Amino acid sequence: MVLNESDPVDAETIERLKSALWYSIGQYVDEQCLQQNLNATPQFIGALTELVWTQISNSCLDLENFAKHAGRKVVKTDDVMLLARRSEPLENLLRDYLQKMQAKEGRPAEGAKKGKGRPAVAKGKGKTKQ
Amino acid sequence: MPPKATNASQRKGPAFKPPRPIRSNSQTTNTTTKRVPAKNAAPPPRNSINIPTLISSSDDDVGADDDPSASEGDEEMEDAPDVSNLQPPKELVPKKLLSRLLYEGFEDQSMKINQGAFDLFAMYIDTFVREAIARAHYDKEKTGDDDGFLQVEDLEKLAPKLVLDF
Repeated sequence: MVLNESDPVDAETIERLKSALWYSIGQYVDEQCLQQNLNATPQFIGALTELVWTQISNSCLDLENFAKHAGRKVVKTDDVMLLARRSEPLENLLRDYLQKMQAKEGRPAEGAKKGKGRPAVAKGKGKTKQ
Repeated sequence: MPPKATNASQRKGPAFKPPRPIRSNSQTTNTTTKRVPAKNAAPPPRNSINIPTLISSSDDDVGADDDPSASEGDEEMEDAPDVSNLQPPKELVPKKLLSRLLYEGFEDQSMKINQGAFDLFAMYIDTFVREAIARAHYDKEKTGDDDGFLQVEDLEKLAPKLVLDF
């Protein structure tokens, strides 16, 4: 991560981001618990958050390096597919999803390079029919 | 390498097939099986595009009922909800949060990600979380102490395999 844990300001940011992640994951776990008659300790949720956090951080670096290796400054779907290279079922899952997504958009997915970077992603729902 | 290549119909290393509860499709279903119907319905979208747009949708439906060959209309109906279903059921990790985390994670500040890739990445992370919980639940059931809570130890046990798979 660019954020440096030893820097007090960054440490606080990390803390906040982790809390947000914890909250989302907690919501999901609670929901699953209700549906499946399960119980999870808060520690479990915390540990899971930590795991997911690490996974996201690692994936970020991977994605970045994949894109760089291809000589790009933009991460594309191909790079994400590479993340799943080790597990075939996972790869199939993602490929299916990707195809669905592209079919839904009339396949502009590859060309949809965002010029303005960071804010672009926040749109989230920007992929309704065009 | 030629000897190996013959039987390994799929490329790359040992394809890991995580254990699945075969008999009770109750819990793990949520993680993976949810998308199984989607898989079956995958090809049709192309057909649905070809459906004349001039025909009103109600006409289309009626036609589909009588005419077996007009099943594309049917497929389209099935497919549409599917896509929305496939859309991370309810955004396990909110998009905005993930985007923030992603950009914090890039070492190069000028690195960007395009929308499609981001959505795919969100799907990847969501799957990761679901898989973790599903495996924890599965292990719990297998060992029999289903009454207990999911503990950190359960996660510790499954984490190595999980991370290797993702």
